[in-house]
Amino acid sequence: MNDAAADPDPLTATLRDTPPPAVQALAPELRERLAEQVRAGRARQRRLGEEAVASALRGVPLPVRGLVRKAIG
Amino acid sequence: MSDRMSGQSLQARRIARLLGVESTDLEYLREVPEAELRVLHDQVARAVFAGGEQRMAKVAGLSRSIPAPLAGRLAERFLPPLVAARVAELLEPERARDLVGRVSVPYLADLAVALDPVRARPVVRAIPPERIGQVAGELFARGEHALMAEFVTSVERPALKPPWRWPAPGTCSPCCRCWSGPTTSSTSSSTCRARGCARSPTP
Repeated sequence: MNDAAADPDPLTATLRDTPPPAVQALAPELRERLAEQVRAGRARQRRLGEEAVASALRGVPLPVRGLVRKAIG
Repeated sequence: MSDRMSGQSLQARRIARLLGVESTDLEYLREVPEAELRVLHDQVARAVFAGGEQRMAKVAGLSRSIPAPLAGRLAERFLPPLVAARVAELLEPERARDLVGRVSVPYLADLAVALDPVRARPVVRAIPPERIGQVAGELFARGEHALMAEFVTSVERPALKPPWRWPAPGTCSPCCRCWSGPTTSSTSSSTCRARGCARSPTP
C-alpha cells in the first residue's frame, strides 16, 4: 500500500491501493475524474461526520455531555 | 438521490452513495465487471472514511457507556446512515442486537444499504430474525432486491423464512388444500370456511 501511495497515478494515490484491472484500464481522464469524486466524497463524509457528532452532542443530556465529548474525542 | 437507474449495477449504485453523487455520474464504470466494482467499492469506502476510523471506533465504544434507548435515539437522529453503517460494523454483536430494536425500520433499511455484507456479518447474524424480516420487507418495498441477495449469506437461516400470514379476507389459503375459490374465511378464524373444507390453515 505504501508503494500505491507513492504512485503518480492520481486514482491509485487517492485510493492508496491499486484499483481493479478494469478500472486501471479506464482512460486517464476517467481515472482522474473518479479520483476527484473520491476526494470530494472524503471531504463530504468528514464534514457530515463532524456535523453529526456536534449535533449528537447537543442531544445528549447535559449531565453526561462532557463524558460523551471526552469519549469520542 | 435515486438509486433505481435501470441497468446500473448494485455495486456502482453503492459507490455512488458512498461518494454522494448520482448513479449517472458513474456511468463511465458501466463496463467494469461487478466483481471488480465490489473491490472498488471497498477501496473507495476505505478512502472516503480514511482518518475517521478512530472516531467511529470511539462512537461504537461509547454505545456501551450510554443506555441503549438513548444511543438508539441519538443514532437515528444525528448519525447519517453511511456513518452509522461504519460504526455498526464495529459494534459488538450483542450490543447491535439490542440497538436494532431502538431505531426505526426505515433507518435500519437506510443503514443496511450502506453496510458491507462481509464486514458486517457478525453484527447482522446477531440481529433477531423478526427484525431482519421487517428490514427485508422495507428493502423489498424499495426494490432493493439485489442488495437483499447480498445479505443472504450473512443472515441466520431462521431469518430467511417468510413470516406466516393469515389469508386475506375472502380468499382461501392454498395451504388449506381447498381450491374451491373465494370463500368466507376470515383472518380471525382458525378454520377455513370454504364449502366442504373443514381444515385449519397451516403455515
